[in-house]
Amino acid sequence: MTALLFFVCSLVAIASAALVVSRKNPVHSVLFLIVCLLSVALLFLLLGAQFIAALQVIVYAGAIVVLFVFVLMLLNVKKETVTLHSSTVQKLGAVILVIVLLMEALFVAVMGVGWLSKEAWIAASGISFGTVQSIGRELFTRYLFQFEVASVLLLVAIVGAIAITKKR
Amino acid sequence: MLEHAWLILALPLAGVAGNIFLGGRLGRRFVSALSCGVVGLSFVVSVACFLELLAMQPAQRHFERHIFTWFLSGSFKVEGTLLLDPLSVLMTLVVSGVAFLIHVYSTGYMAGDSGYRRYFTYLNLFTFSMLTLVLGGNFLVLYVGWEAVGLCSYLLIGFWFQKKPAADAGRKAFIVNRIGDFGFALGILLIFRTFGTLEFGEVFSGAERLFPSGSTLITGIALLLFAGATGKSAQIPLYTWLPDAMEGPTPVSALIHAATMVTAGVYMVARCSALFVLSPLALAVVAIVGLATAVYAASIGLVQNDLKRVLAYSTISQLGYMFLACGVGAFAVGIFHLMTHAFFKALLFLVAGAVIHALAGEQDITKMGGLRSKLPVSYWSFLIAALAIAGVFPFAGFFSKDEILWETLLRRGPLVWALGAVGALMTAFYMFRLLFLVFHGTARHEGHVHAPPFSIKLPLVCLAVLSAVGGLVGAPLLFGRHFVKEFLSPVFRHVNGHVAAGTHEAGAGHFVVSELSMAVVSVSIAVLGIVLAYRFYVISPDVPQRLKERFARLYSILFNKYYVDEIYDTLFVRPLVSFATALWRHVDALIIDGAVNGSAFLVETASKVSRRLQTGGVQNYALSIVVGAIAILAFWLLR
Amino acid sequence: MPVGVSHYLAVSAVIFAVGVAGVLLRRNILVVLMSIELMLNAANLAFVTFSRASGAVGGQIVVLFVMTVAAAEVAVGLAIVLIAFRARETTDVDEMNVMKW
Repeated sequence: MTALLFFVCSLVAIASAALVVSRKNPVHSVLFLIVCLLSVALLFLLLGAQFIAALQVIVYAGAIVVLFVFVLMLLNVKKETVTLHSSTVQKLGAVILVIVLLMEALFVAVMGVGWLSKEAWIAASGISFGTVQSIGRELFTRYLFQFEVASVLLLVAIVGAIAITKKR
Repeated sequence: MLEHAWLILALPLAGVAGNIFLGGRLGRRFVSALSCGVVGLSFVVSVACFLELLAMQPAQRHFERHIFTWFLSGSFKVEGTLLLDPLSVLMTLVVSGVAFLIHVYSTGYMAGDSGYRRYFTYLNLFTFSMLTLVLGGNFLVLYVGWEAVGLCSYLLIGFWFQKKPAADAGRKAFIVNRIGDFGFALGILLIFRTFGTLEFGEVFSGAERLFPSGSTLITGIALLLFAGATGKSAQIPLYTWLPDAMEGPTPVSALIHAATMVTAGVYMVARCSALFVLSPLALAVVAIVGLATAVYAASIGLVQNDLKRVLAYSTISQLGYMFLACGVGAFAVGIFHLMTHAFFKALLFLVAGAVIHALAGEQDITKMGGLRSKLPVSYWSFLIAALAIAGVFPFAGFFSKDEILWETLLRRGPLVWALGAVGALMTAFYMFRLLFLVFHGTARHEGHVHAPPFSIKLPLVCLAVLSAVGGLVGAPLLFGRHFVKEFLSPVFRHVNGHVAAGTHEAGAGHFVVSELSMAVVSVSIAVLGIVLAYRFYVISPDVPQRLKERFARLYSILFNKYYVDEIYDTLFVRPLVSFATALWRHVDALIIDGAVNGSAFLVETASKVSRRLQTGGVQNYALSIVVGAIAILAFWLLR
Repeated sequence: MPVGVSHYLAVSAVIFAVGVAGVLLRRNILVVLMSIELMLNAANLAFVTFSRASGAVGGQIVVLFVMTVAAAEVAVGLAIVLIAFRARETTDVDEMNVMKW
């Protein structure tokens, strides 16, 4: 059952990611981005990270994607006639590099490196750290400083976004 | 007061700073007051130091004031030390005293000049430098003062730098001095190599202890030092800059190029007498160069027509006498002549300045004349000074010059004395030629004669008094004591043993003449010169013209200063200039500029190619980021 | 077939590669930004997988921070897109290349 769910979710995630990148109409891209994000959220659930999955839905699908949609509507961009980069060198280089990168990453994933052997896996029944409680405890004790820094970063981003877009 | 001797230096330096930072805002009155005030105070401190030194026992008249440690590097140690002994204090008195009078004079002479503040800044700087030179307790401090006065001399000769001759003269003075300074610097380096120190006391006592008379090393050092002296004190072969230096303002000529700076070489030779007496060869060179310069410059002075240039050649000639005195071992007499010369030569220049000032810039003596009644103060001052330099009793120059000739006769024999006497004859002649041409006869100039202001007259009178009576401090025949010699004797105590040994049989043995009769002879020589001048220029003014035609060739040689400038020009200046031009055209322009421009071209080309990487396209940059990411990952995987 | 670390990492790798391809190839700057989001998501997936594999909660905390950064980045990025569009009437990355020699 879990395996089946995993495969379905993975396929949907990969396929929608590919569609995000390949659709000519950016509005479609955004919609496929939502699909992708939601299926990744499901994968998080399968990994026992409930809190992160919830965040994924709320922050990404709820806030970030909405922001994208908002800007898209605001700009009212016409459909692209040409989607790909104009330079042949860039296109060729990009394809080759992406393939090489994929090979390397898959190599790591399949063969494993260092401590990360492919056998390393904690039984799903034994995990308890994906809950709000466990993350919250860690966040407000060990990672308190980083947490505060993150909040300042968000504040700066808000101020920055407003300052940049303000009409002079 | 000796403890506070640093004030002598600090005051003029404060004047420089005050003129630079406040002079512009507070105006000319402030500049005059400040400049004259600091130098006057400096003179007062010098007098106080002198009196304090005088109150001590003669043997203890030696005081060193350590101010700071300048260098300390391993065994190399140089102190910033002021040395106050009879020699340096006497020099300080002369320098600060004459400088003060000339500062006062300048306030009148430069009154209308637009560079008033600059002038007084330089003048104060010069006073500071010259005092540093004479008060320095070791060779390096002396050298600093030495170079600094050279700089001030350059600045003041070229004071009116808008005039090309003045600017050229400044450069010439600087360059010619550099040649001598190079020898001086080498001499100092050799001293350091030999003795391991630059302090006067240690060097001199070390020289006496370690080296026998006539040692080659000491001769080398002494000759190198003397090379520096020939540059600064305008002796053959490096004298050519001094006549040209007359392009500067006249008070500058009086202060720097007559009374003080040019005597630095004499001072230095006297200061290093302990080294010179160890080398008979060096002493002989000093004497020969001094004598040759004395006669040679006097002969040029006979026929020149520029008022200041005659005085310049006269200065060169008198400096030659000072070196002659040093060269025969009579250092104290040389310093005595330096002192009296400072009085009457400064006075002569100041009168010349007053005359030039009165005639609105005219310097040609053939266009003057008949000024006696119009400028009485100037006339009487000039007369006193001329009598003094000619060596007429009882004026200042008589005592010092007579003594130089006497010492020469005593130690080097009658031939050298005769040459010196010829020089003295010529000196008397050309000085009175000036006097008669400028002040007597009919007026050959046009226009109004300006009366000199009080600030010009006052220094003239002061210096006239000094020129008249200043020699009495060294008149053994009148008082039975030679004050200057006695005062200086602690400094030159090592001299007598060395010099007396070698020279006595040459002089006194064969020619038994008393000092008194020689004094009579030298006065007669002076009077003869004066009478000749009177005969030529007052009684029958056509005689010079006839002589000129009769000895046309000799005249033109003298008039053109033996063509030395032209000879130097052909021998040194032109080859050097063409060599430098060749270096510029070929080495500098082609090779060095080529290398510089080539490397610049290379960088530019490389940049032009590599700036294509900066496409401005974000995705191109992203591509290179991915390349880096892949490379890092590959590195980890393949490790 | 048991699902393990490798499977999740493989999915993460593929999504990441797709994101990179989008960043490098697409001309619409909005799609480029979305591709960046894809890459961040792939990284998040990998972090959560590591967390699961090692039994430590730290990986999930990092994901939290990554999301924060992503949010900030999108906010500022979209603001820049907005004014760029205002100035040049385009969302084409190719035409936004004035910052060069």
